[in-house]
Amino acid sequence: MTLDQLMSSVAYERARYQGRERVMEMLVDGSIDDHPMTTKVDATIELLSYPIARMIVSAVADPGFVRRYAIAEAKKANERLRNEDIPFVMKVAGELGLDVSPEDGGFSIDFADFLRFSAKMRSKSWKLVNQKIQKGRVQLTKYRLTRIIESVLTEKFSSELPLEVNEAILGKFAREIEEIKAVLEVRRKEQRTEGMGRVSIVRFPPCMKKLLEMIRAGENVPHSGRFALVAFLHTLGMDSEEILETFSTAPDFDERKSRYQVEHISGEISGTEYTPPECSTMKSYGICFDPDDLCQRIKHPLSYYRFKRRAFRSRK
Amino acid sequence: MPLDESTRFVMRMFSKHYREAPLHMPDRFSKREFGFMFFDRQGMVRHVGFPQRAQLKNYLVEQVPAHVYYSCAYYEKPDAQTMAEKSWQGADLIFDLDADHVEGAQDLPYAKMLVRVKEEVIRLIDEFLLGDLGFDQDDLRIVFSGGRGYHVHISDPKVLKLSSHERREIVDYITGTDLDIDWVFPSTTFEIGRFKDRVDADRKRAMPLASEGGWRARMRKGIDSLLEELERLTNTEATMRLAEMFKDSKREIGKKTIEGLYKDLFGGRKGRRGVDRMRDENTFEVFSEKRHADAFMDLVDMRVRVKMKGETDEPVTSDIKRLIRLPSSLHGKTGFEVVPLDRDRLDEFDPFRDAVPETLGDEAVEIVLENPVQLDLRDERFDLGPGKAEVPTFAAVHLICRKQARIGP
Repeated sequence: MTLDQLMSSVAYERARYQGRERVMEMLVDGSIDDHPMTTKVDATIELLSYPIARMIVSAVADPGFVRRYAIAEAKKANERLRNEDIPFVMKVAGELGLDVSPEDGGFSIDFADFLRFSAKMRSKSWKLVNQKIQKGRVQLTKYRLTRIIESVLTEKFSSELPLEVNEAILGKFAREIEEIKAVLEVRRKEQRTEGMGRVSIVRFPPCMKKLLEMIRAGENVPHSGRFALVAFLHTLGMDSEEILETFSTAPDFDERKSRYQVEHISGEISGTEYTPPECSTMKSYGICFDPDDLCQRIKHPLSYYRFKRRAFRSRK
Repeated sequence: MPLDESTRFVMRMFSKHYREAPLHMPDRFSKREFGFMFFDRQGMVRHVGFPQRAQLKNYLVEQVPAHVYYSCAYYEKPDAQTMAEKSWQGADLIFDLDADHVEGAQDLPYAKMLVRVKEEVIRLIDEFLLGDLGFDQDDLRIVFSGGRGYHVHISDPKVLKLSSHERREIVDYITGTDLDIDWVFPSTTFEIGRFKDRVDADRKRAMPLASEGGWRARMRKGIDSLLEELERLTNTEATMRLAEMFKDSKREIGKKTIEGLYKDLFGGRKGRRGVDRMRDENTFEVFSEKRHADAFMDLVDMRVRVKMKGETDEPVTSDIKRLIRLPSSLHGKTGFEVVPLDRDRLDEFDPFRDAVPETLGDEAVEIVLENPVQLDLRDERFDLGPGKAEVPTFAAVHLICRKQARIGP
């Protein structure tokens, strides 16, 4: 079978259809559905729908969309892998470059791999401190191992895509590509107008409120505190002028120095746009002030703001 | 700024050290950023790179910095001015332990402080780095910082690319931060009765096993030694000791609870006591009342966890671009050498004997002291009164750097 055949032969029409479906389902639901594979033909079509889907996603070439697709495919793979037997799971892990050993009743992997592929899992139960660990190996149940494999796959898919696509592919899926792009554009517009809206100090987490108060009162705020606040305001969508204006009431306001700092953090000078540090970093720099109940449930000052904004909306 | 006699003397001696001493080179030398602070000017010079060892040596001999740092990170272009242009490629994993992070060490005199910090460093290395995390001794470089503590550098390839967030997870592991007590004592649910269609259930908690590794094993060890400590005491002594331990507890733990808790653990015939069942059957369910169990759990969280945790300075480990002192350079505030060590040498290492730079020699120098000073240096005792004194060069450099002496009037 050649790429040409897959793209144009009548025999693969169903595979192409299924490939489109795969992408469209993902676009709408954020996940890829289960398709019954009762016959060998069904299975082959399901298999072939995968490269088709990758081609379409590549042709759309939107980084956010690629990422979401990678997540959905990896999740799908995890759901299937969970039902496979231990030797099969070990084989897949091995092929993905994970060094897995069987451990009584489960598996173990190197703690550095564990850290790398559990970084996105923020529940307490995934913290390294709450793992059984011996001589650098973290013990895992099968459920957890396949979840780790899902993370490996997400990274792998994200790094592989987008593939290079030729004119024939672009032509063949022109309609789908246009449709997806249109949907993404609409969503983006919605998000933009939704945005962060006008920045509302009422919804600031306690740490940022305190830092702002301190700066405005001309108190001595450590560099880490200034950095966190400016990065926070910048991420909420304030531009440098607005941020400077916020600070300008400080009795010791030094416009030239402040401007340099603000423009540096917002990326206008350095080219790097900084985001505010997460809660644990804030804590270790001693600039987490008066945490409240909501703080217990979040890991990042921005989540606090987003959460409050949502709570505010739903009350309206 | 005209330099005073003391500063010129120290700079001359530092320069001599850099001319004569073999310079320790970090791996990936040319990819590291260097930073310096000086005796004779303010601020820090950084974003400096050295393609070859000879260039760094020249710099040290000629510029005579008071403090020499290099980046734990290695970069495509270490001398670029911005982080984006530098292009980060990886970073050693660094642990920094100094007196500020060891309970009770800050208030000790300098020499005792360093002994106390060393105990914690040894625990960090043996228990956590070589133990739980399974690092190889060969991938570990231990360094006396020349000041108030020690650093550990790890260059195992698997850690070089770890992100800041992932490194913080390692710190949380060492310090027992966010340890989930419900995970430490795994529980099973069991049915205690049925009434019509209602099922009443309760949870049974088990003791963590030493064979399980990680913090479960560590907590079990800690609990065992707490129980042994209490077992050695008489009834009255033990309840007094417990009352003392509960002093910092978040809730009020009364005399009755303490006595009840003690009786649950140590009352009854030997072999059948609560403590025996805890040890032999690995069960936590030995308490006659919930408040006894809760009080014991408080002890576990307050005393045992805190006692078993390791220490390290978090921001240093989670910073993937940190500048850290260059081994074999000199520390401008002590004149001590930043000494690279291995695990075997660490036990016997005494900064006051082993971190005094060989290069300084023992030619006599006249110094002036404001206050009396007692000092052991290179196995020699110095008992100096206020006023003029004649001491060997190595002692003069140390005393002047520590601002305990000066040269000239």
